[in-house]
Amino acid sequence: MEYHPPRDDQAFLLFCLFDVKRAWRDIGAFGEFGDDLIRAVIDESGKLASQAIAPLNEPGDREGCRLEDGQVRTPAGFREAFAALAEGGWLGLSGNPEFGGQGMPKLLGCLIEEMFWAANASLYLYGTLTVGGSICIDAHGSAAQKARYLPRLYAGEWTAAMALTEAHAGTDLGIMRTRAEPHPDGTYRITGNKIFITSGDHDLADNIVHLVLARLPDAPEGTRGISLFIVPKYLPDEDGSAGERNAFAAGSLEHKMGIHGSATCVMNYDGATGFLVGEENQGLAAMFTMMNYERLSVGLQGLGAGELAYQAAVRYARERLQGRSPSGPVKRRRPGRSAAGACRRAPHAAHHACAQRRRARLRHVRRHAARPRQIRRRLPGPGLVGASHPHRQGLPHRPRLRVRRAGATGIRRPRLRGRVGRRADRAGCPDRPDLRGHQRGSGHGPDQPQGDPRRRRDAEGAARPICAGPSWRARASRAGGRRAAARRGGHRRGAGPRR
Amino acid sequence: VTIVDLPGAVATDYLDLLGYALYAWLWARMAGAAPDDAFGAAKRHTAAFFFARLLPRTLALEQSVLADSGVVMGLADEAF
Repeated sequence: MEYHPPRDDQAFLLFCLFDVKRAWRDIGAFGEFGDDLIRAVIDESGKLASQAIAPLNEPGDREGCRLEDGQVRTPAGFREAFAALAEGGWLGLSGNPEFGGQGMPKLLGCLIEEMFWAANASLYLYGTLTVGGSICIDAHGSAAQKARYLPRLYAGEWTAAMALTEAHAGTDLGIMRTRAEPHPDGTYRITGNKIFITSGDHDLADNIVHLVLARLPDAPEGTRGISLFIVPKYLPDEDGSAGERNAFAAGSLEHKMGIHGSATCVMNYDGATGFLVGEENQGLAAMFTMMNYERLSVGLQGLGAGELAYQAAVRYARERLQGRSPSGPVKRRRPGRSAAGACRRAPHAAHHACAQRRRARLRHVRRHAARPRQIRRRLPGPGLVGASHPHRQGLPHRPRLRVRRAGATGIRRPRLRGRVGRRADRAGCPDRPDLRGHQRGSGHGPDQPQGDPRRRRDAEGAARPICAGPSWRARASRAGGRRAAARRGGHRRGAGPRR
Repeated sequence: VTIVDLPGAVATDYLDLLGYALYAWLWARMAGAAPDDAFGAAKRHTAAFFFARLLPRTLALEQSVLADSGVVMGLADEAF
């Protein structure tokens, strides 16, 4: 889906509203960040979001994730896009510089996350959990754990997941059942089932670091008896790289209404090796370091989704030929003023602005104008097509097209291609009162084919054939129709001159 | 309704109200900080839209929050 980073709004927030440079100076941090650096960071992430990540949004959602032999496969292109996200250092942007993070201000991170969310929420869910997991380990992990996990999480070589919810315990974590048995070597064996685990399994990175809440055998009841464990998919070996496979896997993928490119898993831990984070029975507080970050980030997800929807709505309002102002036809105005203005003048201005493109789209439809093939062959060339021409007189008008399109308010865009039954660029032509009355006085909106199209004439007074919709061939098979059109390419002349 | 149930009974409306109030604060700040150009004019206009068309919803939410919360929790389980 097309997405344009909201650069002006972001600059406004940073420099006008929050006056970040003064704010950062006041707290004695980030003094080295000049305007140029800030803008460069935002522009670069915006480019990545709009060019590399956004195009995968719709196809990724259509394809969705698959679970094959216990391994989740993400949609095509996700691997490359996530690698780009990781290599750009965007996951470690606000990370601890001691362990390979870039130590950038969180405020900047928020603006950047907004763009990644807008561009592709499915993909960035893998990112946000990685950032959140690194924040949690940075805040509560031991020095060894930080050194082992943080550099890889910041670099996106490994990702993170948070495992809290169980089938019977969501918000009410006090009653969760996943067990952690101490093992003589100082690690723990985690056993239990978790649901709704976002990014619980995938094929985007070498390892997945699960942060799992579980109960020790002698733990007190309720939320005061919950401990937090690092449970990596592959246990890190001596040199810290992903080694032996741990004893847990995705049991199934959750069904969702959207974000199908994000793997939300049911996870089964079967005596998986875990490493305690922080103190025993203090796990919930540690987990909520991550949870609070994810809450902020998911808020940004909503903001990004809103921005994406807004951009799509403005585009649509500018292109959609529908309705008219209650106060009568709106005069043409200067282009590009406001979205609301665009809505008001869509019947006119959008026509004019898009006339070229729309004509190009209509061309193939007109070429297919559903007339008997032999009659089309005998149609005279440009300039000679008149109402008096014998073949034109007898041409059937195609009511089918009108019926198919009349009164539909929820028509999808592709249908617009064939639905303008007149010359778009003449819609508001002052020297054609007959045409305007014909089109606009009907009260059915300017885009409903009205009346007999043969009555419309061009400037020379000659009637011109009007788009009558795709031929039956094209209806039967769009692609086949196009091929047929290519074969009959010469018939275009039958449709009269074009401007 | 008992005092224990009160927060839960009004929470949704109260948080909606709080959200509008926070938006109002931010829109006021944004309108004040908006530059004197076309972009800033659009910001101020959007702020005006918010104050004129959305913020008044707080009046209804306030009434809901202040209304008797017993109507939320009063229906017996068996009645569902």
